[in-house]
Amino acid sequence: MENKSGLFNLSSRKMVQRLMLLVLLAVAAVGGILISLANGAASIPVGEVIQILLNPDSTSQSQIIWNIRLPRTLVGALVGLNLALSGALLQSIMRSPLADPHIIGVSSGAGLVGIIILILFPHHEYLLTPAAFLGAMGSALAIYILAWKGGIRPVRIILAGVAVSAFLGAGIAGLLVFYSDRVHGALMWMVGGLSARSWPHLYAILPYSLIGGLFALFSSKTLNILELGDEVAAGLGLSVERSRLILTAVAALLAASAVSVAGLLGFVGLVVPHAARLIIGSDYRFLIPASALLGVAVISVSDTLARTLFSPVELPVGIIMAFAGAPFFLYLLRKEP
Amino acid sequence: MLEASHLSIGFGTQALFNDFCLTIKDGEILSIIGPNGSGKSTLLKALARNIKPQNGAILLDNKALHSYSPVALARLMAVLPQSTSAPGDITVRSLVEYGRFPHQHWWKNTRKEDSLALDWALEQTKLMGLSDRLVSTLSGGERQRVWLAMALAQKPRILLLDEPTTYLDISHQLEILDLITALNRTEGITVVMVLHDMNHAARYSDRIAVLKKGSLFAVGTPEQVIDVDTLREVFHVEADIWRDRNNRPVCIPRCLSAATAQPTMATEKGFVYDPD
Repeated sequence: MENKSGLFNLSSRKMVQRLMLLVLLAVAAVGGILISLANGAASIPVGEVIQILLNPDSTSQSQIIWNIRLPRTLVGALVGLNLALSGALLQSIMRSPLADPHIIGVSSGAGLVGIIILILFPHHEYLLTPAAFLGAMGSALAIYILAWKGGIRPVRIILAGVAVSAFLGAGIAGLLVFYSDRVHGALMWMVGGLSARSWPHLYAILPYSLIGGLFALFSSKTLNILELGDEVAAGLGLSVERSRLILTAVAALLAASAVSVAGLLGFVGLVVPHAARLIIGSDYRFLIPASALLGVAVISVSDTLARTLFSPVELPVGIIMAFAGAPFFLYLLRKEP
Repeated sequence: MLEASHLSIGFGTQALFNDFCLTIKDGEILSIIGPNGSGKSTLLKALARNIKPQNGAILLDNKALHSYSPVALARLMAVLPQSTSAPGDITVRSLVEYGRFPHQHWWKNTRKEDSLALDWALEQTKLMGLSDRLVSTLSGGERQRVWLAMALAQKPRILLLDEPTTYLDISHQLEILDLITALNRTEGITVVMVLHDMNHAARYSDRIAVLKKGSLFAVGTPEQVIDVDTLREVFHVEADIWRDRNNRPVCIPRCLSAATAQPTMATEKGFVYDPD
């Protein structure tokens, strides 16, 4: 039936359905955060966690929550949010389902610089976060410049990204071979983990999450138009080159800030946006918030498992995410009509 | 009025267009024909500002195209590229609504005009009954109508179409061309389209521009332009030219021309049929 009142294209039933899905994802995100706060070496009931969050006191449980679990959980949540948003942005900008923060060089740049710090200058480990951030942005910029030829074509970015990543990857591998005795410290960085992440890391990533997140939300219409292809988008009055440049920069900032505090988490940026798309559809007005919330939920639950499964040994969250997330993603993929 | 003025376009060191001039009048249907590689699509892309000319300019109402903001241009001119793709889960209505993008501002409520333009575009393209269907489930002809509707939702004065009938069967080809003609006649939309089929160009155009290797071989009414010489010189085929019931030329290619390197060689004159 014709729906004259549903001006904004969606029949209102579909609109309500998608809003409900967003609410569900928000519940999952908050639930994931609470689960992460409640579980660890000492379990604290969720009700008590909420009490402590509202009224901090001097008990040891309050200390655990406020000094250890809350900052770590929030860092994790923002890392998940940033990587998921970055992937969602890049999949539209590059018009490629395989686009993720890797392809714009963020991981290889942060990886190499991080490894250099961890292996060659271990006594300067406090430089890890800012240096990795600079490395990530540097390689993203290099790829953009190398791919530029009177304009940017997504395919050229992707190929330049593969080449630069291989180049930097060789540097990483070389360092690991030469300093094989120091590999252990670097290994956690390569897989990505949240161990010992605290308030300073949160303050390092928070501004990027806020600004990048808002920017992504306000760009949803542009992202929808970009999905239609360059020619159509330009015909509709979009400055395709400029939008692509700005949005790539935002995606790079989001991913670089995430990688610089958590190491090279591979899974979230590629798979979470796809999972969100399978859940809520490809309209970016819904896909952006859905990716962000799903990113938070996935990483919170994964990190809880990483801390508790083999306690007292802690796994890097990247391993858990890939192990649990990949099958789930394949399930979503099979389910799709 | 849309005008290509002393246009030079090249790729790398190779110049395709050199000092090219063509004027498109308001309210006409102008078709661009020419063999593969003659620059038809390039010309259309330049008219749509998707290619920047090295020299010369495209003028819209005597103002250089690049002096318009992208959005201002999109309100005057809509483009339908040759190949299009849309997300698999988008509905007809959502896709057509993207045509309103150049008219929307975050500070202004444009819902009323948007919905009027949307309904108008869907009605013109006879898509009202399909508006909640997914674009990916439509047939090729219906899908082409959806993209046309999106262009119409822009409420353009000028419509640029790059081979709008490719991939369509004969009835859907005619459906699209009839639709475009109707829009031209009732709404006064200027239409510039690249066509492969010379008979479609002859039947549906007010004027035809014939391109040969980046230069304008001829421009004029179908009767003036479609003749034995054009087909031989530009397309290298020998053809018979007939007249249809509206006295438009219809050409039936007979064979490839004899080696074009010997233009002086006497060739058989085409057969001209007159129904009256």
